Amino acid sequence: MRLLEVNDLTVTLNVGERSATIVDKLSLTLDRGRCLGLVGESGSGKSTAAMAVIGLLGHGNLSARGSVRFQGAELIDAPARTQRGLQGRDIAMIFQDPMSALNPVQRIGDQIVECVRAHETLSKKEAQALALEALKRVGMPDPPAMMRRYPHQLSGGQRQRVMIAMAIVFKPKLLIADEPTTALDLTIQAQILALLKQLSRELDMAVLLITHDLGVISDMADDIVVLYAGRSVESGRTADVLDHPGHPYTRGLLAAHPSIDQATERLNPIAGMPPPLWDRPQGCAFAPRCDHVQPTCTQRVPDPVALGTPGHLAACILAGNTETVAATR
Amino acid sequence: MMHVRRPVLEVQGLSVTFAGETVGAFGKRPKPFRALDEIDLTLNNGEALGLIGESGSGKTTLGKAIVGLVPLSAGTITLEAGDAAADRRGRARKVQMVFQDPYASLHPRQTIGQTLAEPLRIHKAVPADAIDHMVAQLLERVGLMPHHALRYPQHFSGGQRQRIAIARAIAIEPSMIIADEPVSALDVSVQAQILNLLDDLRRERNMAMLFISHDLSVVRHLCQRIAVMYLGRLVEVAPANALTRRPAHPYTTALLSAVPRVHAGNAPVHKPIVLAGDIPSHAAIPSGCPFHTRCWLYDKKGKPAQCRNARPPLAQHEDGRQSACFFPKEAASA
Repeated sequence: MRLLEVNDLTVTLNVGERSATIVDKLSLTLDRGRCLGLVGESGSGKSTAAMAVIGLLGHGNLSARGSVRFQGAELIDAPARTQRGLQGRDIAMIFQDPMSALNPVQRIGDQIVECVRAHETLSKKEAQALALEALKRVGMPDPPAMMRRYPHQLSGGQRQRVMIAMAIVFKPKLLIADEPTTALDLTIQAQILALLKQLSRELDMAVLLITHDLGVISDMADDIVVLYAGRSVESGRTADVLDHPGHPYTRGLLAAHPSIDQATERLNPIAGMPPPLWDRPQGCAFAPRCDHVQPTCTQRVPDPVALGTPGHLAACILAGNTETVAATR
Repeated sequence: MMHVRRPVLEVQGLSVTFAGETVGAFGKRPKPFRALDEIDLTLNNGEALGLIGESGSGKTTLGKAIVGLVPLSAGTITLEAGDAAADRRGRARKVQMVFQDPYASLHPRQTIGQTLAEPLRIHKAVPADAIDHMVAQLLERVGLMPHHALRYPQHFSGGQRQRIAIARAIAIEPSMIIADEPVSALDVSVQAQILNLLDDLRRERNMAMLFISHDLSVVRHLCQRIAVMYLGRLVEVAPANALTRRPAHPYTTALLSAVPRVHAGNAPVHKPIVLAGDIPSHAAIPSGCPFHTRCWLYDKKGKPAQCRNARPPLAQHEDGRQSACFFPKEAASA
């Protein structure tokens, strides 16, 4: 049984009469101890997909269809009780900005203890012991002193460690990390990424890593799903996708960012910009920006095509056509 | 390059101290702290200099000091052989700025045309009846359409707004622009468009550019020289290729190794140097070399007393490199 199995997950935003598809038939699987990277630009639907997985879409304007199975149990349309039972215990989440995720006027220790006791009936002492253990596990210097501090007394990296400590108190099976290092400095990012790897190993925890940074993905993820305008355009083993990208968007993303190790003469940007949410094009959403667009591209959404290595899929009618791929390199 | 090299900007012994004049919420007066400490820097026409460093390193303050947005405590800033502090308007003619957030840096109630016409009018860059024509030209030059002049910022995407901010900066043909994280708020696919535009403008107008960024790959691509800052000081200044290939300061080495690499598959096995701890606060800058508390080379060399006791000066090395480390030759290999 897979730990997480998402099939045809579709999330729509409904405002009055209008509705827009934010996530469109997304499928993915994730096992314990593995890391799956969800890559995309702003508006690609990566955070919304993660919110649907952990059941945080709420009952507002967003509605989810399709299937999200966690340890075999269906979560879409499951009673709120079932979802709450998993949230924070088996599935935990950390966010980009730890400052806005922490209460500024409550001590760190009290916040973790409150979070622990919300999930389990424990005495304050027992909860404090769990909090201390979690802070130790995430490598906080002097955990007992940290328990007494307020968020503003911590650095950005320490705050993110506190968030991670809070998330792993119950040793979750799945950690969703939404841009966990985007707000951090380079040297602190390296520390936090190393910590996430170590925790995944120690706790046999799966990590669903959401990021726009292909470098971070390359470093962390075993598998990768590239999202564009709410759809998966390419997926597979990270090394396969990054070394032999099959979709023109993935190739474009790789070519658009310079390398630190090699001099680049000129960057090759992707022309134009991602389509607006309320006005997604017919057919392949990337077609208006694609150098290789064919007449059929604008008529129907291309099906995923299996490429050379197992599990490597690209949703492009030209994918697998080696001549075209070579020509666009 | 066809043009003669001449310095556009000369910064000498620049220090900026924030005095903590405001009284905090609990009646405490914050201690004064030194945001910039004895900065020496030269920038030639047509040259792009990348300024990198982590948050709190002072890179944005340095940019602001050059355009005159923060008062100097010591030192001089000379723009094209004229003291910058003397004349505000004269300074604005020579140096213009592009900011990080294109949503905050454009006036929401002014049309794009009004925004672009303002510097032309104030500096009398073109005759009044030629302003509209000039605005249209500027818009076309940055990849927009002349009719966009009638629209408001809200009608544009982040990338387009950054193009408008760039058009405003180059309108009066400054000899230098300071771009502070100009692409950090943009998506990767749009970033490359803006970076190419900045590079083209620098070349065709022979402008100097101070490019402030935390993204080392972008800086390496765009700039001929790179300056690395740590706790308000310059720790290394060198040509971009030399600095990225063989850094002469252990902090630069650590920064470079922390850049997440794409293509782990065919690249050599890469093991990042993970620096211990956080960047020290400005209120408690370590003695001696300010980096020694996190320095891997200091540990590797058995904690030499020199690093704790004396502050290494930004010393000149071969091929135009400068580094503030006592052991520059050993800094490249971790």
